[in-house]
Amino acid sequence: MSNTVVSLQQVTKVFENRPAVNNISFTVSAGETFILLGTSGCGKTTTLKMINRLTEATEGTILVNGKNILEQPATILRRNIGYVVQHNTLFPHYSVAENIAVVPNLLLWDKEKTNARINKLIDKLHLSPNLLGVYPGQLSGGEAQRVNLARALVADPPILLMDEPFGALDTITRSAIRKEFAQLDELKRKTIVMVTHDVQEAFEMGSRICLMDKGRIMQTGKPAELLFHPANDFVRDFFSESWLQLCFMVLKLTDVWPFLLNEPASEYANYEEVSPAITLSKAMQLTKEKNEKKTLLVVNDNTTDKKTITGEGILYAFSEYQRNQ
Amino acid sequence: MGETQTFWSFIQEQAGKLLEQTLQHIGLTFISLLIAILIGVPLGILISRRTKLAGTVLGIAGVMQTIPSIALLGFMIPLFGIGPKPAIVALFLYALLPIIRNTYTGIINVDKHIKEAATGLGMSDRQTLFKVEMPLAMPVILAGIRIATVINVGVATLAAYIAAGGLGEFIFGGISLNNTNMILAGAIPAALLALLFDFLLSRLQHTTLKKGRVVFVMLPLILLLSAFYVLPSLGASGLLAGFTPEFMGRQDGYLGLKKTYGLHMRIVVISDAVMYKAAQEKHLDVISGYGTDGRIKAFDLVTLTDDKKIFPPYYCAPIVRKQTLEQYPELKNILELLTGRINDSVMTALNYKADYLHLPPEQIARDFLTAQGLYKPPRNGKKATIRIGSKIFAEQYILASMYTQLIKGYSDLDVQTKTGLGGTKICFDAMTNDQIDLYPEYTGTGLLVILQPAANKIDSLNQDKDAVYDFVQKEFQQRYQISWLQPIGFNNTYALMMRKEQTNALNIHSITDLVHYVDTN
Repeated sequence: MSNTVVSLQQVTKVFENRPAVNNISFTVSAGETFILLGTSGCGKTTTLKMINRLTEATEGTILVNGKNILEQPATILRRNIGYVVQHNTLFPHYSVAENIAVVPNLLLWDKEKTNARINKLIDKLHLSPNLLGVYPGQLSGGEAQRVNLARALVADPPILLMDEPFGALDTITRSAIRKEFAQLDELKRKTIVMVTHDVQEAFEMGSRICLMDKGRIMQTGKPAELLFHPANDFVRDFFSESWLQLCFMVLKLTDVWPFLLNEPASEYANYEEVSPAITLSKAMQLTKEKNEKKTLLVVNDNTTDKKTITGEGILYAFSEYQRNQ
Repeated sequence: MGETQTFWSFIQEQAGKLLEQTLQHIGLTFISLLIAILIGVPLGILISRRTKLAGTVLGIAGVMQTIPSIALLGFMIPLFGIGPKPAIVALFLYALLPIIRNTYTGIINVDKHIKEAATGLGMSDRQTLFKVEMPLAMPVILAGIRIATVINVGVATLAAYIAAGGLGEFIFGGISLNNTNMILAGAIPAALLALLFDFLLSRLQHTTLKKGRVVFVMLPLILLLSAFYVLPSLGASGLLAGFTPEFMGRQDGYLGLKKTYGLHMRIVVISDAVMYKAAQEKHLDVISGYGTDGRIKAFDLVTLTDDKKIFPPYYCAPIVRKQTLEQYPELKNILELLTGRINDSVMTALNYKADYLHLPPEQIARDFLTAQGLYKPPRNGKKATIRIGSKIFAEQYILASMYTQLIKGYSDLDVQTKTGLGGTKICFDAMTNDQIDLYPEYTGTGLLVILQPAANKIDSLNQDKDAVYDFVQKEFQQRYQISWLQPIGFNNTYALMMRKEQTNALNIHSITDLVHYVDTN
């Protein structure tokens, strides 16, 4: 295993004689986005909060960077782990700048260092510097969520814990911000543990997904593993409703490459060159654009093997891929 | 003094005193508020951390709030004596509940997700409290302080009852003296203070959320305002006199003492309810009492001889609405059954039973009437209802009870009592407004408080009990259609009193002796 950043070993949390989290274990590697997925009450938020000790585990061991989290003061631990929750937790009595500066002030940074870092960060997060003096009450939902993220990222913690970070946003803003966040190199370098109940969000952002139910882990694995090799009926049922959509989100053209048929070139078609790393759903979307039939030119980097494919070809390749699983 | 004074001329005349009382009032309010904040806010924080304690602490503070303010001041005297100390403690207890409760509610109601975010970012419990919870709870805490301030400005008027000063001196003096200007001179500034502080604190409350630094502005400000009270009271020693607000403003009281005897000594203003006790417990040396008060006997006090005769006769007689007498002529003979039966020492003994033995006035009245062979069982007549009033001290309660029992036993009239009316003005106004039919009044009071004739007229009557009686009887009949019946016989005049052992030790037996002693020491 590449270097492990967060590790839970047989962790149990009991609330009033009822186990909220029951004997779970998993590890998160550096740079991974690890998703805790499940319905409300499944124990995913409790699991997240045990990592930065907002809740103390009843049994079991939690290691962060190889060190038992109980070995250092909770406040010190937390200052080195970014924590993002829904946007309405910005401090209403602090301006945007003061909100972002909370952790630097706790870490006793000098003013210049803090200001330089804030200016750099808001630029990356596409926040206007005019907003720095503004209070959270005056921000839009999207702006507030960016400030919230800036507050968690400002001290550049290697680990980020996120609890339904997009939960309070409307669907449109939500997917826009999600896409934007996914592009941030500030986030790409981080090890992220994120809680969500949104299946689509989980598959879009997660490098690995941990599906939980009633305090237990049902399955942990890469998105494709959960779809094509469900560990039990619960996992199968959980994804059955949007299974096809999820498959198209998860699989890339490279995954189904052997099954893609090379179509003969036609003079009536438009051609577009695309990367083989795009998902099937993205590829399908491109073939349907402008309501006219369009053929795609695909380049395979490794072999310089070129294939010209159509929408029907993609559907065929997927069904062949599925049969071979 | 004869002509009617305007409000403004009163204010101008008393400007110095008004300023002093206002500063005392502000000082009293804020020194107690300061202590309440220093104790209430930490207590509120504590119970927001240990919510199991919340019920108990809020319960105790709530009980304090329900004790009537005068009673609370009364409880304080055995513990802290008289003067500012018990007043500050009582005001502090009143201010405590709103401050604790609002601190607690303010902190508890801060969004729990915001608290969790603070903890999650790595704030310690203390940092979460001071950086997040307190600033967010501040508008609620300030609202509590605001309520406490307004309560304190109001309750501080009662501090005048226990010699702590403040605007209550004018208010209660004015009520006793039937002087509306004096009442207003106390009440208007008190109301303005309440409005002003409420306004200032509301401004503070609305600017805080963003600028969270209020606390640093407020504490020094409150300290400064508190200082108004502490500074003037430093220094001074010697004999201390405690006079009632009424006595302070009267020609036949303190004003006369100054003019005729040239008395100049340290004086505090105090309610007669606590004055005797304070004298007995040596908080006061000289007090202005009433000649027949039972507590003279109970507390081993003696009256000083009025050798220059400034206290006019205060013979007690029932006064009755003329209309009532005409409707029920039998009343006159019934009410005059007491005439000649109660002299000064009998009245003192009766008062002693009430003030010191704590017997109910009804029983004292009945025992006395029985012993005099006057008592007859009630006839339970329903012919009409006679309304009897009384002022708020034992002697009046006892007399009202005697009249009640006599009227019920000797006629078919029923009686309704309205006892405990706050002062001469309240009793008299109740009568002229047809709220009561009769109450026992004193000739001197009728002359000086109600009629208020020109000074030369008073001089011509002065000291002669029959002349005063004839004058008030004639004037009341003419001006107010109120009849004075025959005097009962005792003379409850003002007197200066001291502890018996102190008069012996200092060899003070008359007011002249006292003036001499004060001037030479």
